[in-house]
Amino acid sequence: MCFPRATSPGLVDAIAKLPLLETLEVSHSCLILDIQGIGQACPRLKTFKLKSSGRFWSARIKCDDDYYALEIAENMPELRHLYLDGNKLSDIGLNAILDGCPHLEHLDLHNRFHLFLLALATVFLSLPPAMEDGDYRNWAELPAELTSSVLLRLGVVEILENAQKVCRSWRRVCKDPSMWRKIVIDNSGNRDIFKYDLESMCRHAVDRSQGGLLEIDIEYFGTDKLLDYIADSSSNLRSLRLVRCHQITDKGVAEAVVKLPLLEDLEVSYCSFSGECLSVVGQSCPHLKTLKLNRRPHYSFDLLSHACTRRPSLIKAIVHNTSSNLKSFALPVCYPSITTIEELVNAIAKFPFLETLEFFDFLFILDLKAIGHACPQLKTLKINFSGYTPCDDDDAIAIAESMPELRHLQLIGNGRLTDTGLNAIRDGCPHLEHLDRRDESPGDHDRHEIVIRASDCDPYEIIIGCS
Amino acid sequence: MSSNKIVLTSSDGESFEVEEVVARKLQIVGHMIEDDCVINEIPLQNVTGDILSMVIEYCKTHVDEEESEEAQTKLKTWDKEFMKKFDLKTHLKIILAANYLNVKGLLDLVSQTIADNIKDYTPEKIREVFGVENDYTEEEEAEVRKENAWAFDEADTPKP
Repeated sequence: MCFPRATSPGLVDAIAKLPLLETLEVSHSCLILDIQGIGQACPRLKTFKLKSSGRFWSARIKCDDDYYALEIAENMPELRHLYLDGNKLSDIGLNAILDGCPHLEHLDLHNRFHLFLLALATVFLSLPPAMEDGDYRNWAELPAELTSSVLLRLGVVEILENAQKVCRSWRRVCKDPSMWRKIVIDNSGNRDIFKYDLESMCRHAVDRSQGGLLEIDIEYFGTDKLLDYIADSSSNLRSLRLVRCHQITDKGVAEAVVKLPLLEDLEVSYCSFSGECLSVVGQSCPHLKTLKLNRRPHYSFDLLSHACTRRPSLIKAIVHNTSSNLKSFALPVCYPSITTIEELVNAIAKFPFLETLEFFDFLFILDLKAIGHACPQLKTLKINFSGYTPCDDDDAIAIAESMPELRHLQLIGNGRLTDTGLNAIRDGCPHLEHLDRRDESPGDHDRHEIVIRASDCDPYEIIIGCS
Repeated sequence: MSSNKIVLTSSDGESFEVEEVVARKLQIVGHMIEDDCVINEIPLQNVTGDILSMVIEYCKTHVDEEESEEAQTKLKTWDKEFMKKFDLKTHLKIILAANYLNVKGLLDLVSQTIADNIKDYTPEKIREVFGVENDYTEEEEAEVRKENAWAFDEADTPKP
């Protein structure tokens, strides 16, 4: 009970209606309790706790040091457990309690109290240390929701291989579907996860979610069959992240996303994924907010960039079939022809709610102003210019004039940027919190080598080869 | 105008005077304030002074959560350093306190910290560190193993 403003008679009246009461705890009360009344009303009272901070007590209550002890001794003969604190007590009071409550098993006199009494009490009665510092001797006794709060932050491998084998109560927690709203199987842990059959593990985890899976994040393994299994069992899925899953194909992704109408975030990075299926993604997932397709030329010839070069229609496909609510858009290495640049800018203009735009290794001149005007809510812009055309003051001025809402700006490869451009950005983007303008020349890329040769007929037609 | 002060008292009678905005980060206190059930001293019975002081330190640091990325990064670094100061046993006490006092951010933080710490522990090590008793019978243990035989080598040569 914690009724700072309750009155003593009110409290006794209330307690009198509970004659079978065995446990009573009164905390932080600023009144003098009628112990006699309580004792008579509840003859079966076995546990009585009276708590208050010492300062509070002494300021409000003027009564004998032993008042409560004597009253309790006289009126609560059945007590087994007594907790008294915030009170002064002499040996008279203590003796009275020991005499008056013959069944007392546990006496805890907390806080203000004389040392010699503590010694005395310890001789007669054992004070379990658990009461003293609220310590838990055994983690298995923790409330299940707290165990779950910790364990659901472990990866699938750790849960299945370690946590659930600890004891029965942990296993119960690990079997609960609420533990499996999010599945992460990557190798961020130190252990060697590849000694396990990750595909079976993943299926098992999906089974345990019982359809409640919201987020799945897998790296370095997985097949189209697995993806199909996930999609069949998890129609509520919001986020799908596939990284370096080399066996997963366009067809697999296309067939899966059809079954995932609630998908909001999709990332397919460094997979053998060409992006051909993106039109399906757009049609099937009207709620899509983030689409991320990362790729380093290092892994294999970049199919998406290849597709962008050869088939401007691909970008069109992404755009025309994707919800106009898209908020984040990241395009990997891209070496398009001149027609594709226009396509791309027109494409971006179809997403008026876009907040994040990222281009990696971009090799052509973008009409940043057109993009800025088309996407007035743009907050984050990241462009890596290092491949071909360094960012210059004109780009900076275009940004400054058209993107007033920017919070984060990253311009890598800004060899030609001067104070004029920087000042324009500072003036034009008053909300800017973060400006990253590393200058990274193409030579810094140790992971891939690009051979660029301008074609004779069209200065923007670029032929690319990767070694 | 100075802001309202509230005194929080731990189960072992230690008192801390904090500003109301800080106290409100403890949702248990926030609710009491809303229910008008607060004088200006609040006893918190399930948390001891040493743990309560840590919770208050966390709440003071997180009192105005700015949205800027820089501020968030700074807070995250602080969180990490803060957690590093304590051992697993203290983490357990903090998780109980954060749950009881209803401080969601701290509950998440300490849960994550414990999870990170035990990530690579074997079941035996977890039991040892947390004093958890293995209450599986031999049959049950075999069943768990059988049901969850994912290791390639284990599947090939099942253990008895």
